[in-house]
Amino acid sequence: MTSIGLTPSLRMTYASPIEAELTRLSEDLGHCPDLVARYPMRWLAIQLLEGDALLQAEVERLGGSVASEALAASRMRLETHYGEDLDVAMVDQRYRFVHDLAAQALTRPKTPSLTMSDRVDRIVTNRWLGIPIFLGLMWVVFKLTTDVAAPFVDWIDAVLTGPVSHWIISLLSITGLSGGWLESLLIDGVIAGVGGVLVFIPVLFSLYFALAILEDSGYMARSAFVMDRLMHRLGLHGKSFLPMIVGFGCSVPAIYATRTLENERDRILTGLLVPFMSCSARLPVYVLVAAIFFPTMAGLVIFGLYLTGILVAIGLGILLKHTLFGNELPTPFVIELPPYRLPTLRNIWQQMWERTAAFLQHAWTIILGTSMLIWLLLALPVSGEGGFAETDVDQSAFAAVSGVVTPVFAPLGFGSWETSGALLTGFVAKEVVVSTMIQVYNVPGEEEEEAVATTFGEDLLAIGGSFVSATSDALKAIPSIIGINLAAEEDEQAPDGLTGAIRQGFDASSGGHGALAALAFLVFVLLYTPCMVAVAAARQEFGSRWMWVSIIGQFVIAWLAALIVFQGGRFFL
Amino acid sequence: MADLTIALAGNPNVGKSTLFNALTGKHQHVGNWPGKTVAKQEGKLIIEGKHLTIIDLPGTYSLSAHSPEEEIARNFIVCGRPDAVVNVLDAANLERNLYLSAQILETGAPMILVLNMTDVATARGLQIHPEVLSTRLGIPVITMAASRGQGLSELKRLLATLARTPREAMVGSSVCA
Amino acid sequence: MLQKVLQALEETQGPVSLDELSRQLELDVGVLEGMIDFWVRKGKLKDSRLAACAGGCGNCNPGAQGCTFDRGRPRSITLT
Repeated sequence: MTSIGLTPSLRMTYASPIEAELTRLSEDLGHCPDLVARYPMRWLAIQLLEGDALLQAEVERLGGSVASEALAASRMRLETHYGEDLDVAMVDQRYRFVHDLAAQALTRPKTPSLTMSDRVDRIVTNRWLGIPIFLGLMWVVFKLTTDVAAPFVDWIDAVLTGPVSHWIISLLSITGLSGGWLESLLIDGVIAGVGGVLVFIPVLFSLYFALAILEDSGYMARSAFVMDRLMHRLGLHGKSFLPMIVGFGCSVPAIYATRTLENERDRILTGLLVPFMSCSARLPVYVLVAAIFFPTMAGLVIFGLYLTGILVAIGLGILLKHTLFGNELPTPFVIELPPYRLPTLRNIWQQMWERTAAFLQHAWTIILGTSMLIWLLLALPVSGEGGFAETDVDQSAFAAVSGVVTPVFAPLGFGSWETSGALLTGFVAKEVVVSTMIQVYNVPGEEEEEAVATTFGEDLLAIGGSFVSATSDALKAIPSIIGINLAAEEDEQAPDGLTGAIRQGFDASSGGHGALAALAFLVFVLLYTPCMVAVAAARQEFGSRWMWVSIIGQFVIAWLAALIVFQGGRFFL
Repeated sequence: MADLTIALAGNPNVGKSTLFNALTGKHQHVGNWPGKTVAKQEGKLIIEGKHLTIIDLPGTYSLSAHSPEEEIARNFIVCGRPDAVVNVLDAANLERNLYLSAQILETGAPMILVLNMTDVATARGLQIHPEVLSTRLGIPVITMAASRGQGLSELKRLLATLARTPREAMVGSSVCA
Repeated sequence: MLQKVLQALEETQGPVSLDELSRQLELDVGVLEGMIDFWVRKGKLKDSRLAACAGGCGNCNPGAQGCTFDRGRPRSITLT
């Protein structure tokens, strides 16, 4: 039998002080037969000096005090050479050994070949092109979320206010409960409130789709890198943009993500800035209001809002860094830029679904709860002749409560009880702003007009048919992202009840500058407290003092920014 | 003559499992490592009348027992006394992979180096000199592109020549259990 | 070699990508990652991938793989 020697002939030698102890220790341990029977002695000595706890316990158990003392003595002698870092020295020497070996066994190309990722990165993370590319991609994302999602939004809206409402009314009439407060609760409370928010699921779905593609392809890491480099140049500590990227999805995990910052002050500073990143729950408010006041350039308005959020965060960051938070040296960090890859459908679908599910969870708990509470407050008369659930909304308890804070918003152009009420409930969660607006601007008697008798089957057919046409509209909208308009310009529809009511409301509260007031309103929504959960997270992470700083600070900044938009705009127009 | 035991060791994602499948085909058995939730892959290879038991160790970057996987790999190499450790390396990432080899080297176990993914390495312009590794370390080095089936027969031929290395009898122990 | 990694990090200005650092140190990215892992275990460096488990998610649907919104955050390594 030709036996090939498999036992390595090369032995890795450590620095002489370590070698001396390895020899000594393996000899000492070699006196213990229990150890010899189990372990190669030199190997055991190496692991022990490197500080392996498992094997040390084993040696103490099998070798007794003689072995432990020999080990302690060896370690003691080496401490004079290496201090606490004996293991560092040993691992380092192993790396050197491997490095030398690799240098002999491997010829690397003189100029390392550039991978596809390297080539793309040269452009995408370029000093000058990086930020324009980031902004350009953001622009595409918001065109996508508004234009492509819009037909589906209309479709869900039509289904909920049409067939679904009819079905509920029919069901109630079968059970003999129609026309009463229960019908009002279900139609004006649940359908108007929760349904009003569910309508925007296609918008969120497309936002999450775009975010998933950016993340899965590896671009998101580059954008954080590019933005952090910019912040560093502006004198801000680095790394804060990493939590902010998370903030585009949801502020709460973004606040927790500040834990990766090591410096307490950086952590708090970033925690104060993160809520200005426009979270996905704010998007439905933008879409609703922008579609009413800026139908032809909703994408631009929304893009502008996101950009405003980033700019406010950076500006405030610089301001705070030079005042409250002192000027410490930024902590350097390494960021992993994973190789670009084609996003997989499975990953994208999973992210879209999980994130949308998080939103739906909200709908069933927080939004349902607040919608019902608001319905109750709207149904309760405080003046006038109307009875319960029959009162004019103007005379409801909700109008009375909201009326108290209305003067605060008057200089901003949206000092009506309806908007004040929506913003008040918006402290709970931003989706609720939408549901409240739909509830308070809900014009009664609208459903009856279109109540043409249809059968269940006809309803289903109509739902299916309108979905097909919504899909085709959405497909037609895709080329418009890059500026090609396939869809024939539709005649602007006569404003329906809700649109008209919201427009009238803003016009009335702003002295005729409805669009300007709406823009100020959106800026306010962008900048004030994202939601109760974010507040709770801030308190848990930074303490109640900083929580209050955050709430009040955001309110003041939101108020000032909205004031500048409204009063400044009025001055120029 | 009793079966010879061969352990496959290497970093994660170096094509170890592909090689394991290529060697053992359908003769596989999946269980758990005792006391661990890590899967234990075991297979049989009969070559030139010789019966080999092949164990696919968990992929690890080191043998320092910082994780259950490392502990399993280390215990098997040191205490399981395999007749050969086949150390599979990603040739395109040679230096990082050699760190584990250096640690296996320190155990004194009989070993064979398999430089896998040489096709990827060549595509990146890396020139590998297996003969240098073989002379320096004094052990057989085989180049392979397991995804294309290259180098497999050479490894099998080498395994067929294996003889049981005479070693002291094994004694059970708590770490080595 | 190990110390060089810590030193280079201390001296960098602003964010640096793993590839840039590997070119600067003339080390394979894989080797550099191994060294970073070593320093993370020693507590000299902090890896955001490991720290993420400590973070909460509020009501943002913490799924099986952690907070769904947090997954997009790139991995970063810092000096402690």
